[in-house]
Amino acid sequence: MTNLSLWVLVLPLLGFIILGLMGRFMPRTAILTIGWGACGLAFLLAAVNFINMLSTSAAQRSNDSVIYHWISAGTFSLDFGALLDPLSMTMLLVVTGVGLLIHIYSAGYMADDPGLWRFFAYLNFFIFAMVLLVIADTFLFLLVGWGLVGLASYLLIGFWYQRRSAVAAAQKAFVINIIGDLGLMLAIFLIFAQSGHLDYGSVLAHTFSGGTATAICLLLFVACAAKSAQLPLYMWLPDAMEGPTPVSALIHAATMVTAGVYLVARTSPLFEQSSVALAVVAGIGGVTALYAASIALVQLDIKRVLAYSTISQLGYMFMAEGVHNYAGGIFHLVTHAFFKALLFLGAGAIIHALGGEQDMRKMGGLWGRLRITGVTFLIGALAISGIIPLAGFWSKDEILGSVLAQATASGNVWYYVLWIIGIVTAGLTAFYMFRLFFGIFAGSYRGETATAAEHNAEVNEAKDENTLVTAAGHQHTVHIRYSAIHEVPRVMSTPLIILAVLSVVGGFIGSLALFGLPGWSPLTSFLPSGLHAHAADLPLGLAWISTGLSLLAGVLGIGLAWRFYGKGFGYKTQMQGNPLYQLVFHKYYVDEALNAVLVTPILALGRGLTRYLEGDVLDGGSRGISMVFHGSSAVIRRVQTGYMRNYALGILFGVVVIVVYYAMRG
Amino acid sequence: MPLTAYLIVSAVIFTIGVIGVLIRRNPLIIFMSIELMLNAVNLSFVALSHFLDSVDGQMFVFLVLTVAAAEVVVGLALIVSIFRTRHNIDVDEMNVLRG
Amino acid sequence: MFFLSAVITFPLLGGLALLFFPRERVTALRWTALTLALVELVLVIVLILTYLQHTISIFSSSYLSESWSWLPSLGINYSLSVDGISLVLVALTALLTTVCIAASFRIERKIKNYMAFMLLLESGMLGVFLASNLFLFYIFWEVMLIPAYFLLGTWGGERRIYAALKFVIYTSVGSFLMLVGIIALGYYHQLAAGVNCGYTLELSQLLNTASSCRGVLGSDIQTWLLLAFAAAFAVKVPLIPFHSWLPDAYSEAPAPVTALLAGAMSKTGIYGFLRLCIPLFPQAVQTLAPLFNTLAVVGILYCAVLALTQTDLKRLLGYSSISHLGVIMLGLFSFNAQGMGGAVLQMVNHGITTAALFLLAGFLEYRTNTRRLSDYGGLAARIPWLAVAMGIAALSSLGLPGLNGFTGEFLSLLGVFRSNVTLGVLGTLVVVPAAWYMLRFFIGIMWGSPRQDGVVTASIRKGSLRDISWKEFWVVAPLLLFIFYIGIQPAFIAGVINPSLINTMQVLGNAFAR
Repeated sequence: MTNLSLWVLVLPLLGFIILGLMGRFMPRTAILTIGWGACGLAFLLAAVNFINMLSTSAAQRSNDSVIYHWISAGTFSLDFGALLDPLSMTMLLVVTGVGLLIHIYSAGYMADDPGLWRFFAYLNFFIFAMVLLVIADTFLFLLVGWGLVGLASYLLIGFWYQRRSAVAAAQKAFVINIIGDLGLMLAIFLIFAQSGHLDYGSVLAHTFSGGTATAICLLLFVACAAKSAQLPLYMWLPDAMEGPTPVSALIHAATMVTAGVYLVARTSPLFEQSSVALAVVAGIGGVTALYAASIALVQLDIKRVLAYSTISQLGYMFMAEGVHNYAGGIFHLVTHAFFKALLFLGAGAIIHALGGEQDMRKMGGLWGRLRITGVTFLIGALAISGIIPLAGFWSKDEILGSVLAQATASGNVWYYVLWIIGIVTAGLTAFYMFRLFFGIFAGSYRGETATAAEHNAEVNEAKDENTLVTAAGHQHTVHIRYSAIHEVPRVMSTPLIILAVLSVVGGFIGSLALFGLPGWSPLTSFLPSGLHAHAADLPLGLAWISTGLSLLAGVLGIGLAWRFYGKGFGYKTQMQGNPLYQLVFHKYYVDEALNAVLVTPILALGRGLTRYLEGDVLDGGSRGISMVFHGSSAVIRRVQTGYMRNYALGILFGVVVIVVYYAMRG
Repeated sequence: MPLTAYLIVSAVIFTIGVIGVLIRRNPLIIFMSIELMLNAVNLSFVALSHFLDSVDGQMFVFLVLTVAAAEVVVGLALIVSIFRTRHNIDVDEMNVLRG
Repeated sequence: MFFLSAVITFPLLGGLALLFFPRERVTALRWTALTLALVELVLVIVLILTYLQHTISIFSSSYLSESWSWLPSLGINYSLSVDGISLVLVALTALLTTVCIAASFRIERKIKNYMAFMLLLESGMLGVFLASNLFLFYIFWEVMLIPAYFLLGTWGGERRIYAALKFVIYTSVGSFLMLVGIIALGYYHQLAAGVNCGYTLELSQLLNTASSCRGVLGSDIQTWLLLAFAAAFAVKVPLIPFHSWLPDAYSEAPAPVTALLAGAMSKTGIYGFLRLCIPLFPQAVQTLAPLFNTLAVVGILYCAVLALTQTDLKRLLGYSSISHLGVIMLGLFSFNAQGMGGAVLQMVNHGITTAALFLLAGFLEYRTNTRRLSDYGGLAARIPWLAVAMGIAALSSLGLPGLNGFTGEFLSLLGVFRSNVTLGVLGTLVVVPAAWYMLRFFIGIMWGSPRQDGVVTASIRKGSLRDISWKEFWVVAPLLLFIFYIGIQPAFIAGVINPSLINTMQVLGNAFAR
């Protein structure tokens, strides 16, 4: 088992090394074989491991094995080991499984890109890093994986490294992720300073004092917020859409951004020690869910809508974890991986078919041309909107139910607020998803008939938007006639179909207690009991209320979207005068504020220090000292007349003085 | 003869040497004056050695003689090479190193 | 055994032998110098192997140590010894010298003197790491200065004279203070130990571990002596505010010299703190630790902010180097196994990474003749392998987990955190600006849209902007290899350091207990 799990880690790494060193000289088939093979074999091994694990009893499912000795200092030493338990197994399956589908899809999406080898090398590297993150058995190697997925994300966002916008986005993503790494490092240092251990086993069994536990958990959550794009560290994720679309699907929707959710679940014993930290997790999750959903309402770039939607859905997961239902968070993580990957890949298919167009205003009426993409996209949209019986319904329902349960159990009014936020967000989600769906597929194609007025408005917006995204997107856009739009090749549609199927049935791994099957909850019973044991129970009646309301909100959202956009998307220029619309459209001006408050002052400080402190004070100071010596020597050197007899006279004079001195002294 | 006589002679010769160094501009003469000073010291060394009945003074004389010889060698070599480059050995003209 | 002497003197003698070469045979000169450095590297490897077979401590007489009387009445002996900590630094020095000599094949002017000075510099540094008599230490300390001065002043850039003078003045003011400190230390030790004990500058005796003459210095005297020693080391490291010489020196020196100065010579300062200041003046070090810690933390953050806005490639790297050295200082002054072990490990890592960065920047400067960051942009497509190498070095420098920079910094900060949470937090904060400026460095050169005009574009048109050549590749390959090796498997180096670390901790523990 150990060896097998090690290979899950090593194979993608090997794929990366081979592709990275020799991919440049390889033919396309060889690149695909290695890229797919590495990820596919990893998935296969993970699956074999999973089946093995199922055949053992629940108590024996956690397997921690030391692989090698990393370092020692004094009497202290650190080892690298792999921890394979149901939680990491679930993550492994998602990462390698969804990863494999996206590897396959990428072969079609990136077919014409000369950097294909580089792309697959990075993808394999990402899989390796993510697997490392998931199977690490100490906080140290969690941190290593945490940093490496950040690197993979950076490399892939900046994949088209000559685009200014992509580079800026990559840099932003990396730096914000480093803030998260900082939080994680501080948490690790604090854990070590308090407990003297870094491996999960000892640390999670350790009881920290109240304040320390809160500090550790909050620091961990800083890391989670950065990696999983929660307030206030979410800014990088929308910009990360500069990367190729499969990357957005894999890293910035299905897997890497869920690392934070995984981390909270993994360290749940710590979070259980701090109710403050859990309340923060739940609160931030809820606020982020609503906040991001509100921005998603008005975005025009289809990938950005999905990006904000991802942030919002991640907020849901944290909400669940904040009310002790870690298993619920993981459940939503799994279903979200299915339908969000599906939606992103669908968006990728559309962008591919339209020759790089990402602006919703130039789409429409594609239902007739892109049938497979359309149907699968619809399934994804229904799933994320929480329509029964698709995957999203079950997991979202579970989350809302446990929030309500926590509210009733604790009687705290804020949890009711959180629950209402959840319901409202569900409605918003349905609305923006179907705004997107109708915008793309309903009505008539607007790509050819974009009027001059709209074009001007859009150019202005591109300037306003300050993100260069639209501008960069348009550089590569080729306007395609409606009749020339073709369905994507099989290599791209197959993953769509598989993910669509998963989005339909994926929800059934959750609990069916609501429908009279209290014994049926495969995922929850597979996961360690600590991940759901602390969650409050909800009476069946209240559960029905929660379910009904969220379903109602979803249907309402879809209905409203139909009302506004059912006949196709119309961009209303009069909205530009509406300050509220402008506020939301500009994403609450967070980027601008951040620039003004943080980035500009720091850079100004650096320039000022270089010029004045380094230049004038330190350099000037040392020059000043040298000037003092220079000046005094200019005076003293006059004594050196160059006439030898002057010196001789000086010597004589000196001798006389000495002689006289000794003569007087006697 | 009393010791004082030797010492007076020595002092006179030494003073002649000092004045020679101070007032002459030809380095050769200056060298001679320096030799005079050294030998004045030698004279007093020998006289005192005899007077005190100790060989230490005579030993120093040998040391001084050796140093003087070495000094003349170096000095003359310098003068020759200066003369070759500047065709003039007036010490007042040698003031390149003035401050 | 003469082995340590051989290790120290071989480069020196080799350098002298090189001077008898005919000047015109440039190629032969280069290859001979490289061969000499390689032979030295082999000697060092033999030293490591010998060391590993015998557990050796610098605090007791050992298999490899040497000692001859020199001026016994002044306490001056020729004595050398080696332990794990100095061993890894010796290895680092030998490796970096070899690499830097190999990178210097492009030097055209006075190649003979250049190579001789490089080898002399190596001897000086090795001597500093191996000397176990304070006077000898001082001699080697000054020996380093001479070749460094000439290398900087003769082969440097336009402002080389200014940079070299500044370097020499800063360094020598520090080292004269140290000389005074050394003489005074011997005096006060004799005073404390009693009349029957002679004047000694032997490290083992001053540490009160080897001899019967035990003398504990009063804490006032310790403080003054510590300050005198620290003056020399703080300039060499450098700690702020004694760093003003560094940006000039690093940016003016030719790239291989900068790599050697930043990679190896800066470690002599830290080594001085570790080997002399901390064990010799334990009480004073504890009292003054807040001072050094503050300087280190301020330096870390200050230089990181400065690095963010530098427009000159080498200056940016220079400030980055000071910033990272601050983390090492913090680790050192945490006085626990993680912190100090991490610090020693990070000395090696910092040497490797910084040298790699400066060498790669040098390769680039050679192609384009400019160090201005704003002249570059979008070169990754044109020089992909150079971009990869630079990317790896940059990531290692910003402390990406899995590469060498991370291991050392993680361990040091872990230790710092255990001794002082505030300092730990402040020190850790640097990862954010570090990532920011390293990305700015890398992205500024390699990514983004290529410039339409300017020097770099001109060199592209001329065709002089080629990707990394095989020669260049072999120069940086060992460094890149170590970046990965130490990142993934630091246990070997940590294992070499560890016994000596435990020894140092014991000496410290005893001293602190008094």
